[in-house]
Amino acid sequence: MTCFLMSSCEKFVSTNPSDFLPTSAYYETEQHLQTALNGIYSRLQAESLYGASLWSYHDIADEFYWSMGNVTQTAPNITIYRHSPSDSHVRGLWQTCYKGIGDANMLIANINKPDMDEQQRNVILGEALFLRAYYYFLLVSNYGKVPMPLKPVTSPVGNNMPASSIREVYDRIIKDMERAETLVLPIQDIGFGGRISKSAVRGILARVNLYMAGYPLQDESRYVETLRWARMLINDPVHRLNPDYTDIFIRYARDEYDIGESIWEVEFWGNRGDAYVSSGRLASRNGIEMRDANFTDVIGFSYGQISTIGRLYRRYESGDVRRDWAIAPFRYSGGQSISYSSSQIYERNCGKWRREYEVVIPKNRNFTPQNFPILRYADVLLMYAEAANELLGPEEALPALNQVRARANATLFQGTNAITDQDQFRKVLRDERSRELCFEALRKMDLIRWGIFLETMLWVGNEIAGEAPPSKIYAPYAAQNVSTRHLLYPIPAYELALNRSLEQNPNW
Amino acid sequence: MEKATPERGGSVSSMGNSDLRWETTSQLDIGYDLGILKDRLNLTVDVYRKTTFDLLLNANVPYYTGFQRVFRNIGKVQNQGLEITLNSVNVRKRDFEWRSNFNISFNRNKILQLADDENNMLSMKNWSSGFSETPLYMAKVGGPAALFYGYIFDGVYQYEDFDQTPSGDYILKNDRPDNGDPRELIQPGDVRYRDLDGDGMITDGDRTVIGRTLPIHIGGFNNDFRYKNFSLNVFFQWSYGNHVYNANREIFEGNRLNSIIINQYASYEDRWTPENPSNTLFRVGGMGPAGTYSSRVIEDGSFVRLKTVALAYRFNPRYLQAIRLSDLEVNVAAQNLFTWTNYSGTDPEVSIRHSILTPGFDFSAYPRARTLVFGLKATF
Repeated sequence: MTCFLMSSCEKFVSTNPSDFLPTSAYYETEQHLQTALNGIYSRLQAESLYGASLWSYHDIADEFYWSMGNVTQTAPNITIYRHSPSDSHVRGLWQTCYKGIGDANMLIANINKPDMDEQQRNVILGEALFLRAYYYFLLVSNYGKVPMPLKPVTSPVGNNMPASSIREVYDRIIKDMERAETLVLPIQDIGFGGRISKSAVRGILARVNLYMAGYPLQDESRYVETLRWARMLINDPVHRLNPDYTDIFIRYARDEYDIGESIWEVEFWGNRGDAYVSSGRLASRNGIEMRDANFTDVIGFSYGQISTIGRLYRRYESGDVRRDWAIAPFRYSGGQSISYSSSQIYERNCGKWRREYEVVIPKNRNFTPQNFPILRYADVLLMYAEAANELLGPEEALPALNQVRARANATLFQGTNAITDQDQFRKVLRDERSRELCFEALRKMDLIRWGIFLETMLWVGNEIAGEAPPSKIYAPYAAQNVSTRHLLYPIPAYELALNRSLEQNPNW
Repeated sequence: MEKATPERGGSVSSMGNSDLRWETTSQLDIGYDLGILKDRLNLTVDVYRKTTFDLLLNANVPYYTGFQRVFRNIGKVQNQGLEITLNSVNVRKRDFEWRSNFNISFNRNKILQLADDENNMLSMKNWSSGFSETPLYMAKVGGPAALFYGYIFDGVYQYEDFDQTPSGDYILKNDRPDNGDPRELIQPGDVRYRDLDGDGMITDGDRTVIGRTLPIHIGGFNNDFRYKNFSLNVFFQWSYGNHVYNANREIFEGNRLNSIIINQYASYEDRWTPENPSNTLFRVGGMGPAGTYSSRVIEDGSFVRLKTVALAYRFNPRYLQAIRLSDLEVNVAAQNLFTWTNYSGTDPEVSIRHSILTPGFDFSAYPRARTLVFGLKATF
């Protein structure tokens, strides 16, 4: 028998909801702050950021192309520079960054609420300030002028916020990151690269200042800052190159840390066999082709959606250990690796992250526990070399460059081979960054800040059209479709419709 | 470093709204009933005005807030209309009777005020990921709650819009506007939109009102005939003056999503080719920038529909006694028999994912069924 009790609402309805947490009842303890901070970190794992898009859709330049496109399968618009302001990936990057910023604003506004150890509080504040600044860094470098809320948005009314200028956004990023640098812990105290350390903040400050020195701000006074922050890391005995280039990436697959080289990495975890959804598409979307269901656990599944273009492959000399690691000279079929012939270049997939080294079994078909490096020590050395060349000339810059090359077993620029011309060094360094850091979500922004994105894409487009195999019909499209407006993404159409104080970027 | 189990993280998923108020309405009706000729002619006239204050909506908010939707009171909307109903007994004889009912309604809605003192508000339609980021509807203060909003389709680029280089490439002439794609990519046969602000480029500023979603009038005409033991009901229904966004054509007549394996409507035969310089349908691959809405697929949704025809025959009770029945009727009724319309889709009356701000949208909707029902009614 079922019994229904009917009564007037007033006595029974509590205005305190029980199925969700109102913010007024949160941020009460140190644990609350920690949980909220983890939430800000978790945005980095989103598919629209380092879970997939930032190192695939958003980094199409002169290194790789979307090789899944063929006569029976369309390549996504964004991979061939056919995206519009309505593109879901253009929106996804924007939306996720602002979610992270919204979470950070909320935590920062409530940071003084709990009674707790002051030093612990400062560490959490420093990490939140840094992450908010990093999300703004992703926004300003991709979209240009953007709205910059620094307090939680608490009212659904009156949400028309004009964009802050590129300069204003960068200035705020620097301010918040420099403050964070005084608050967060040294990397030795943390012991792994997944959390923001002083080293991570310093290295990213070197990067942000380098971006400011280039297009569009062209504020060359910032090279000094890059030099200062990079030097701090170089002088820190904790940091050194991992002597084995391939071991860096094998460690990401095995979830092993190396704070010497891997200064900041995005944590991914598990195989989605449990309650956690913290795995990403690294080594799956940009892995080595392996489509045989019988070997999913032995090797690991990948469609091999990202392949090199000829130019990246030819950047390496043949003895450079990085070439055949970053660009896999084989694919898998029937559980066996099948080598590519010397003429098969555009067929070769990105091989930096390899699923056969994963230790989490069973392996999910599409999602992996592999970590993604946002900042490696090799990048710090190259940033140092770049800024040093601009300020002090090639002589000061060469040792850092050679250190990176020596690890890769590449010819050193020394003795009669030394580079003495500043412009010559610039060219070599630009290629060296690609040799060392290809597929690591840095290249497109590098080309843009150097002011050579458009001309590079023009050359690359002609080159690919002349040499790519005809079956790879999409290979030249990206480079051929690029025009001046692609120096920035459009402001998402959705956002323009709802925030009426925004203006669309030029030519969109 | 040891691998550890992940820690829990939390984030704020939705924003509260302490200013939220109940939606309230005020309504005024004035009716007039008139019966003449011993009530053989009945006229009813109703005028109403309904004002909804604090219209409540789970409204989109800009992403920069960190949120996506918030319940909020978006404004004040007025609905008003005139409804006229005429009932008449046209013929009343012993063996033959004809009664009819005619009604016509003129309904209008109007936005009186929008939150944030905006003078308009844009809304998206969520039907395909390629389009769901772009607004298709505008609600404007002083205007109706929903107007179609987008580019004006301006035909197809023809050869004369281009200069030809010695190498045979076609370069868009300087005085021709682009279509939202970079100029150097535009080729003969590509879709063209009207450059309203005259800056030579198709951008957000070239969007305008491209259609109305509300009919000017709707109505019905019902007739009941009785002749001896036969009775016949014929019912017509109509709508006049509304537009429908026929999104099916975005996909199946032009392949706007640029899918590789997809069929097209027969009308796609008439697309632009070098031999067939169509000005109504762009070439294969000439669909311009993704995710834009235009007047190309906005169609007149007016229709007259023969909604019901029902015929019944009732047997004379005298003959039924022999088979011990007190009543016997056979009937046949048909629904949605025929529709007169210029709308090219299956049904002009559809509206998927309908809301007051997003009406009149056809994509892969299930059409109204044409049904035929035979009946036998016996009473023992």
